[in-house]
Amino acid sequence: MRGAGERQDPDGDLVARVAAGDQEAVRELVDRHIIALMAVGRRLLGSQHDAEEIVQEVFLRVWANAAKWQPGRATFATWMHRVAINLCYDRLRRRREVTVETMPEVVDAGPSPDKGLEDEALTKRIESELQALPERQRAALVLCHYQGLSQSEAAEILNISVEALESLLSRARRRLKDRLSDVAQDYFGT
Amino acid sequence: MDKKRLSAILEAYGADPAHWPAAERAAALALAEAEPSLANERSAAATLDRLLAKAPAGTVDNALRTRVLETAPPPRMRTLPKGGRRARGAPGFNEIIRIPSFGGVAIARPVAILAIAICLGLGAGALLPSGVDSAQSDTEVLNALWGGPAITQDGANL
Repeated sequence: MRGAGERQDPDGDLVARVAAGDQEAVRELVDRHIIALMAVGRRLLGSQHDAEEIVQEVFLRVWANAAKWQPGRATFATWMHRVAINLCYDRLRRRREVTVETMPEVVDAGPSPDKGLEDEALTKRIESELQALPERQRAALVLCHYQGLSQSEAAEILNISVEALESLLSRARRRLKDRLSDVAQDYFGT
Repeated sequence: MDKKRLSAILEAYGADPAHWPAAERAAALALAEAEPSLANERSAAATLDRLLAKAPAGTVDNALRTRVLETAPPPRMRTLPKGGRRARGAPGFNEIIRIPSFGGVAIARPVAILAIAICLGLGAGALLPSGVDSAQSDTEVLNALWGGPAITQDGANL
């Protein structure tokens, strides 16, 4: 019997089958979530390689915990996102602990003197500004804007209130709008 | 829903109503369409949305998918039912090797197996070609059986 606050989990049956060793269920669970998890990792970390490691680590945790999974308030997808975010935070923390001597050269994210930006240059510029956001703002933006999660789901994953989530999103978008105003003018004439 | 709240929604969630809080979406959309003074804000939010769409989402190739699948626990082995009983209809040892009994007493299984092994050994010896005896080496036996040159362990012919 479903308790108060429990929601139907679209992955509930699949996780049970994974726990029972059903290989078809394993493949289906991977195919359902691998692209979304890659997107979270890629946009939070700014690195394809790092994102691949995050994806693999998330699924290692999935295999280890499938048998213990109990349906409750959070869906399995929410749990996977939370694992991915926390793993990304860990990786970002380790990056900050790198010594100054080994720090990679910081890419200048300021306005380019060349007004006619190519698509690739624009992509790099957007990514650079995204990576320059404080990580909590970036995480909020990734979950809400890119992953399309609801406010309550994103807030749950980040372990904050919906109000705090909205504040993070506002600050992130304000900063990006300000930093990218020249690009917006170049690209869209706005 | 008022203009201030709609501005806050546009600032936090962008111009796409699909990203707006579900409970406020209908009211916000109605106000957005009815309030032309907010058109510039909505347009600016839409521009930022288009720029954000350029950020790479990463790629998932078969190699990554394979690596992930390879870490999954293997399928569980099928176990025998409780009691170790065979499936209905499957023959057991006694059905495969009928053990004769003398005076109503069945020969013990190990003795039967020994007897069978002796019989097989005697039979194999009887089947050896006349030119082969037990004192010959394995190589010489093979040569006698197959008629070809003996092959040493390292592949060279003798």
